[in-house]
Amino acid sequence: MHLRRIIVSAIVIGGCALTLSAASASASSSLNSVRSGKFTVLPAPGPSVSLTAVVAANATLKRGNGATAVSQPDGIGTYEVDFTNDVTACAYVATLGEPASKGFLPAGFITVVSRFGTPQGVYVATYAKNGQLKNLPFHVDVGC
Amino acid sequence: MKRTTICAALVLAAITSSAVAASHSGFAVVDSDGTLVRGSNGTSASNQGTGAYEVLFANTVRQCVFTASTGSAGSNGQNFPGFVTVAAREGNIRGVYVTTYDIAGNPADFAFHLNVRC
Repeated sequence: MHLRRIIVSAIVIGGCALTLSAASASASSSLNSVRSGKFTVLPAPGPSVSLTAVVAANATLKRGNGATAVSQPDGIGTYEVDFTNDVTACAYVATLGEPASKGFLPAGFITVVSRFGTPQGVYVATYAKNGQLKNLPFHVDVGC
Repeated sequence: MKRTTICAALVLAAITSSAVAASHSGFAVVDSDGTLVRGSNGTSASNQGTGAYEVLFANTVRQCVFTASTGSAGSNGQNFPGFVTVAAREGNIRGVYVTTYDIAGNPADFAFHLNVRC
């Protein structure tokens, strides 16, 4: 009886493994098909590089993915965020925001541009709501 | 029956985790005149009037998240602060509609960076 239970359990586990394997292959195939443009139900996954950085107002790099350094090249409200990769072919999206789960951040503006002369760099400028440059914390997301 | 249920749950989890892996699905960097400066394959852009832009991707973006920032397309030149908003493009499932405004909230042409994640 005990042996029979063991055999049944093995069959169930094996069956699931085979089913999972098939499902995984199917999902992978489906994604590949999407990439090759066979289907239009799901958007084709584009380039998958995603670099991120969360920067404090004083230019301290708090966290992120692929970010190596932050500096203030031109003084108040200007930041250079350097990454591990060349980002000249990417899009940068940034939002003003505190690195931590505290504090109240007044409304302001933020702009992004490639860092001239540094292929790994993103140049970020932050402004108060009156349009004047001001040191403000931010989150930046680089998609390529 | 029980085995089928368990297998179905595991299969669903596998498919879901595979789908999640396809995180970033496109991007575009557009000049203030609507010129696409760079972007993922199959992307195009056009100016639809002052401060209004249409960005088209290779496939549908209806189920995606759009984020954008104002910012020059090149690596030099002065940026001016402004507002940017995003929406799915009415009448085109491959489109994102981007609007840009000056600091006073009036429609104005701005270059921008757009990320689409699906």
